[in-house]
Amino acid sequence: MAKLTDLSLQLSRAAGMKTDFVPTLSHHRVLPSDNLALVVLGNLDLLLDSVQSKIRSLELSWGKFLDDHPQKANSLLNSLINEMRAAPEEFWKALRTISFHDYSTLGPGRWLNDEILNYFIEKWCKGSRTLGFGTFFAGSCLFEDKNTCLQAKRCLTGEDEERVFRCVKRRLEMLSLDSWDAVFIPIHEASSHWYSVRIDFKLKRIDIFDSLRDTCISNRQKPVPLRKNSNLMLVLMWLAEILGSIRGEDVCLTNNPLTSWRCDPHSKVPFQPNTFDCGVHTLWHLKHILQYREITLGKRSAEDGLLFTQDMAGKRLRLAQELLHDGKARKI
Amino acid sequence: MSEEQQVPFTSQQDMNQQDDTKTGDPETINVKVVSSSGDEVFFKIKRTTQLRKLLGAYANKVGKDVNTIRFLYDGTRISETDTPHSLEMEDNDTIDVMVEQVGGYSS
Repeated sequence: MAKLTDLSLQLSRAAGMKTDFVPTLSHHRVLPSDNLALVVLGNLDLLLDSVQSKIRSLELSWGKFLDDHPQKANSLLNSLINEMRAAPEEFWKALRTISFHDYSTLGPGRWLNDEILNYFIEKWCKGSRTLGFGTFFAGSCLFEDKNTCLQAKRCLTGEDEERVFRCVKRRLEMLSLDSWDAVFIPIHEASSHWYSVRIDFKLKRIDIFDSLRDTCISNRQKPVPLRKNSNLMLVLMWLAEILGSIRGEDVCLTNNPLTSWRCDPHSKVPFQPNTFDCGVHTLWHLKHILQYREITLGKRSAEDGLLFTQDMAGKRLRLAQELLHDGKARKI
Repeated sequence: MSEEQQVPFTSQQDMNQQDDTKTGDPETINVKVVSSSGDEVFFKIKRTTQLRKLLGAYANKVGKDVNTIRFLYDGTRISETDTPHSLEMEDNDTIDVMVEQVGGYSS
């Protein structure tokens, strides 16, 4: 509660600043010297800095508040989605691929759909160092059956390689990436589950991130060849070699026990305690990769407002707010 | 609508009827659209025509709303303004049709 009072106090000051600032601008006169102009510019710069850090700290407090009060986050999320039902057509046009139906999958307890994941992967990876693929890449290039993504490809041909080359080329153009050293692949499994893969050329690692506790625990008890993801890992090693060649780097993982690469078919990540948050977890894996290169737990991610929480309701609301902001800010 | 779906998907749709295109025209290519269950529909389209036209015609043919299905070329989403030329498509290339993906939990 104290936090909220503090927040509203800070917000009310911001409004005051604006009302003071506008009349000042209207009384503005020509500056007598270049020196003074430089001083004014310097001051404006300081002002901008302090406003930006204020915004950042407000966002952090807001994120923390939502993480601490998931029920409140859920009720806010419900009202936001209800309001969006009446959003004008221009709003959805500005968001291009997102419709109200897609937006509503961010709602409490709902399963996120591909449009939501694809929107954020594309937006966050644009201009970054991470080549983030869309949700259909894995089915098209890595699995036997593009619909279920259950059995990783057993036989890889030159045609498969060609297909990966073409996918990468188009994706790099789409994301305007010149140089990249990490890769993110979302996987849609059995029409019901989201998990992800990260290939990092700097850390020399391939990891599979899955937020399901049962899969992870039962998997770690099985012998390696019987584990879920073992076959997928073989395909990912093949993929890493192709991607390496596109990067102009010699990556040799097949039949190479001496490689310095580490491949973990079930990296340790926070688990979802429910039956609906895997999509949010998958997006949060990407957030951490972009921010830290690694899934980062504890104090550090808490300070950045990126902490994985038991209930991801706060993150859902933040994603919904980000879409709301983008739709309003973007011109058609 | 249900009648439409029962039509065997082998007919050829000519997207350029007004343009008097002849077969073998280098400006025109054949494109195969394959649904997630493997049904195929063939289209003939000019390289410079926006794929919006083809996507709409396909959705119409199978009786689906164009906004509920996703069209992919080489695993990447096709946008309405893409053309066979901009995607560097070749004759007899395939467009895959996928449905919405949702996920929360796998039992």
